[in-house]
Amino acid sequence: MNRRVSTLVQGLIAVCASLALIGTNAYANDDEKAEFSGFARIVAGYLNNDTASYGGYENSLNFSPESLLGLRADIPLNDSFSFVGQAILRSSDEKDSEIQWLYADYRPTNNLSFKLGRQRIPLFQFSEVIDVGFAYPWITLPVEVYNPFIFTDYDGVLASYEFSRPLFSGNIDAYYGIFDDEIAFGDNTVDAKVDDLMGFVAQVYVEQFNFRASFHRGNTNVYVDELADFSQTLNFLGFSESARALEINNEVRYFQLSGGWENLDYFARLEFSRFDSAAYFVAQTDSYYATAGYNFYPFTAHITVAETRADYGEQPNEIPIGIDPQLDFLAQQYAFALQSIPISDIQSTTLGLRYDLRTNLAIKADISFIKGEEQPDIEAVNTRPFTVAEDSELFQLALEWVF
Amino acid sequence: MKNFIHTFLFLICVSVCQSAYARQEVVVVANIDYDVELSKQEIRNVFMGGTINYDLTAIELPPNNSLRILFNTKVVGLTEARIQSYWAQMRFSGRKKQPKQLQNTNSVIEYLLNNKGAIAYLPANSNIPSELTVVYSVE
Repeated sequence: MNRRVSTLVQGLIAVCASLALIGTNAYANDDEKAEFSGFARIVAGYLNNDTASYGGYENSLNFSPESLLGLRADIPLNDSFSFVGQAILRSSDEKDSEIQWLYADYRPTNNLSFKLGRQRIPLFQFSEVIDVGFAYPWITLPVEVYNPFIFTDYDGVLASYEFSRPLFSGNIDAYYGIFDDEIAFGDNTVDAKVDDLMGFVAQVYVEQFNFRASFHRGNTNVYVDELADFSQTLNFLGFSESARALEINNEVRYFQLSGGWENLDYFARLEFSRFDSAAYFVAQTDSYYATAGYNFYPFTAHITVAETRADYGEQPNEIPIGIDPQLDFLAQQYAFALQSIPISDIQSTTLGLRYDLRTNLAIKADISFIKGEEQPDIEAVNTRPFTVAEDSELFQLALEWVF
Repeated sequence: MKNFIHTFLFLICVSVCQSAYARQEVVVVANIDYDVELSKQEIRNVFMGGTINYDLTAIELPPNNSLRILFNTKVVGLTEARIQSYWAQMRFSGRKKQPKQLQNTNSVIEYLLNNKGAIAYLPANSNIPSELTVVYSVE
């Protein structure tokens, strides 16, 4: 994380220097005062299964996976320029406290804006506010969809263009950047890099309907010492296809589609994502969730069905068996390495109730019925790992606050 | 019997208040030098932090204000709770800014008169100064 922060700070110093050179007026008027705001959530969860874990929850009451405090500063320099920083302090041992946003914001016109610096990747509808529980009805965003492979944040630039017509409005975003940090891999952390990370997002609003489509891609390079050594050995022995099967060094792509409808009484939302990679170690996954809800102020009740299907495709098997004991041993090791691939076919149904106590304070209660398939203990290369060995129920209570 | 009369009077009061509330109409006015009629989508967009093809800055009333509730019901089509969660999403993703809030319609009118391009909703039966232009009426 230090490596990223120092690169980012250097970048922002460069931006500040550029602003000073072009003669930016640093004296803001009354409407351009610095604003400080934040959000906090206390989430308690219990999974009634002693052999499984889901989203960090196990069969004991646990507050740590999702409880957090977020602080944000918006510092305007003039009508067009501002600096924004947002940091998260987490209670989880597995997830670091971090600077999620640190960027310069430039709005040359009313409908065009640029962000330069550290940002969240606008992968799905709620990806940018995954930690701001007050912004959505669930306690945990549907894990089946909101469990991205590395794609959480980036250092780069985002351009956003808003359009408006009498019958519809919307925006088109494009971004480009890099990701270079450590990520969780099973019980360890490993170096991960994504180069040429880019994406496009289009959103349209028509009356009470909204639609979103997006595409994201990047060249990933995840370095796991043990796998890299073994891969080198295989390559040296001429089993290049098998060697490649153990690398996570490929292009990955995300496709996302969503639609929603809401009025005073009801809401419905459907979001679908496809994740695609040439790496054998990273499954192609198709995921979706469908939600329907009912508002009866100050309460909101909702039901969500979510599912993810993972497909690892055919793995190369070029090491001959039964010819030489050493080759047999190698084949065995290779099979063992491939078995460590996480399988993540999961289905869940969540029932939830939200009570908006005040305009900035809400209490939520969710119960999720989860169906998972038997899988090895090694967790996925995911930012929010989950494993489910068998059917489980997750009970959650949350207090959501924005200030 | 006394309780029955009290209940009866209370119900009459409630129904009178409700019909008075139902009769209240909302207009959206702006401090602009041209005549324009905006669509519901454009009004919704400008009050939800979006931009439209005119340089307008929305001003709103605080939560629980009856005119704000009426405007949200008739134009935005969302509950206050949903609007607050929308603003949390917009603020913490750096996407859009919530309109400036003023305490009452008098402050809103004063602000409108002093700020070119300001746009706000007002009760249709209020004395709307001639300098302001009505850009949308709730039917």
